[in-house]
Amino acid sequence: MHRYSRIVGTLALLLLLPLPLLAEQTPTLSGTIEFGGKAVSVQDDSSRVNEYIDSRREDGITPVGRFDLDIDGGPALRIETEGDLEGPSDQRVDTRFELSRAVRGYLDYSVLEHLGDHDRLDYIDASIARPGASADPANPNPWPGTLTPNAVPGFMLVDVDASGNEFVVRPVGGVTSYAAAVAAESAYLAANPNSRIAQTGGAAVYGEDLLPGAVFSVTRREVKTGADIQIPSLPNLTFNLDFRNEHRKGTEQAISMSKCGACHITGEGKEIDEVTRDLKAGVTGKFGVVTLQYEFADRQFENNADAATTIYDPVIKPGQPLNNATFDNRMSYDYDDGLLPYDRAPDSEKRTHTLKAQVDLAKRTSLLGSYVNSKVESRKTDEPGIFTLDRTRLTTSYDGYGIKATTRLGGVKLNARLRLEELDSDNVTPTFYPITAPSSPAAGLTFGAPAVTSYQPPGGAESIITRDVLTAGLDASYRLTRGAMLRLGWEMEKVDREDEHFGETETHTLKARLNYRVSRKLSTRVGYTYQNIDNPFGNPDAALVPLQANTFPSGVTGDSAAYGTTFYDAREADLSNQPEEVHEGKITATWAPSPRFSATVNYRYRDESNDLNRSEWQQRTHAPGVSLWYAPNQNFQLTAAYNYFDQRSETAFCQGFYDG
Amino acid sequence: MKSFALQWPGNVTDIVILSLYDVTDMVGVENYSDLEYQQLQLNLGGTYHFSPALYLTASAEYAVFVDDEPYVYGDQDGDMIGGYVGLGYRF
Repeated sequence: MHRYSRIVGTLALLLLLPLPLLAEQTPTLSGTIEFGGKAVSVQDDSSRVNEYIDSRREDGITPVGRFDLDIDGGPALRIETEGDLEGPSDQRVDTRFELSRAVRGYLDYSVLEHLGDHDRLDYIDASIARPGASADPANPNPWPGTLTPNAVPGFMLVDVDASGNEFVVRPVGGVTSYAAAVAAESAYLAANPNSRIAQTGGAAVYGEDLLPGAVFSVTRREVKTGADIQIPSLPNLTFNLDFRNEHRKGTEQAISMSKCGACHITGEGKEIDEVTRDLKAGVTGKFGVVTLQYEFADRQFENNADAATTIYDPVIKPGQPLNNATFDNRMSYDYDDGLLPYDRAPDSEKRTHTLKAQVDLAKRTSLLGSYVNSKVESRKTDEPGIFTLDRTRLTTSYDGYGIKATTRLGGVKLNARLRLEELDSDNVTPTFYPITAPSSPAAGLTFGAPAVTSYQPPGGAESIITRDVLTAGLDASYRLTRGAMLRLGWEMEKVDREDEHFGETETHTLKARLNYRVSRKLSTRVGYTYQNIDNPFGNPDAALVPLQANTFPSGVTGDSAAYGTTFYDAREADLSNQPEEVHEGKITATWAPSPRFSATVNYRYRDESNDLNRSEWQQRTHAPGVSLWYAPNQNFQLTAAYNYFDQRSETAFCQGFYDG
Repeated sequence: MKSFALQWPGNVTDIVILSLYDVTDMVGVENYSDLEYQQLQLNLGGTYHFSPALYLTASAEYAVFVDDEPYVYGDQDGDMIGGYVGLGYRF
């Protein structure tokens, strides 16, 4: 696909090169060419200070070329192009051209490398420190050494004499050698039949970054080209054709989790090689006061990278021998399945039809109606023997109806809008195939008796995409005095999801902004936004099971088929990291005491909060800044800027782990 | 900000539950979501024209990220110094 982008770019350039020959007069060339070098030096971690690569990732000097060219060939031809080339990871070229005022086109090319997140996975370790299952729970034996939430070995332990209190970590090392660990443990068990194996902790969550030194980054290359075309014999119509090719290539972190035994979370790397290709074609017609527009858009997404793969840990109940089958009918896959794919974005295609109609009436009044129909199809793959799906293509459709009106009432300019959107997505019915172990003591206890060899969740996997969205808004602007403009706005958005678990979210937004030129030297802008969100997106009943005195809710035992309804369904605490109330204020002032000096100060404060039933989510942001511009003479200009960003947030979440 | 720690309700006194599920080692959880960082960017640039056509431009950039509560992505403390010098021709 990279080659494909180059071919498209080369073809577009070849099309542009002969354009000067079309000029009716000898083209004149004007502009600026600049050559230089950019030096970058990063101390410590670069993931934030150089997140979007500024010319280069490593320390050093990068040759830089910049240009701004204007080819003027009279009415028949005009080309404007500007570029900024800063090494292989930071490039931009934008070109505009016009032919006989009948064709107006563009050709843009950009390259930018972005450092990706690297989750260290060292913050969610937790364990319940207790001896093996054979110990008397009333008299728990101490563990060797000290287990802390941040120091969980995440390995099986060997009880060398089956006493339940002399566990030894075997072998020492990272999970990268897990296969060797399992082989060693199996060999040890064969040679020492009286030994037992237990999972560390009894119940544990253990995160492990298998590539701690890796730097994940994705380079994005984009070519955009297109043109508006007017045919002389069809003066009322303007045709447009646009093409975009985006190629993302690099590596990202992929995270998987084993469970039953310990919740073992591992971070590895995966290849990124994705192409998004957009093709748009449309026509706009003007017929008196009526303007009609139709556009068709096709988007194809191709994922050419191999999926990330992992080997999951063996299914094992804490305290049980390594090859126990107790949990085999609770899981669909484990270590024996070898490398399994995960974290792969599927190929997809999206087709969109857009129809707009605008009527321009007297007194600056206009009406705009629009209809958008879009359909996305993505390919789904299953894993035979582990899970299957009832469909290999997932279709999501979108219908959007909008109307907008603009008018003036006296000195007030009004803008009203109403939009209804309907999203509908297929529900998928997966079928899971558990690791069947008819001889297991727990056979049939999970999915009912007698034992079953496959399982379909009731109702399938309901899509959370399916929803109706209603948006209404009203904006008004009024000139209070000369140099003072007041803008007020209100918007209501109602999201009605088909999945009743998440329900409706209703957002009301109020905005006020005042632009005021105090004098010729001083101008200010003050703005305030308030949002009230009813039932923001979150996870209701996500945590905190109410405990009775000295016991869990009745019916909760390890093999109980009612575990879900009596334990999980008893959770009370809602969790969310979305606000239900937002206050945001902005103020900007520009002081220009002379034509050679100006100073701008700005400040933004944002307060977001969500008063949940058992905790409170908050996020506060302060962002002041100042910029100065000084030109002591025509040949010398100085600019300086200072920006400060302070954001504090606190989020409650549930750290769940399983005790077997 | 409001904070909360893991602890058993007062009515749970059973030694088996308290010993099997000792949550005192897990009080660090409450710190996991206490995030704080500061980000600063400074830019200074200038252009000197030798003639209407020929000019020299230079700029400097300093960026610093202070991670006061390292968490998911590790300690992301870092600073970057950048400088650019270019010679331009206008025609």
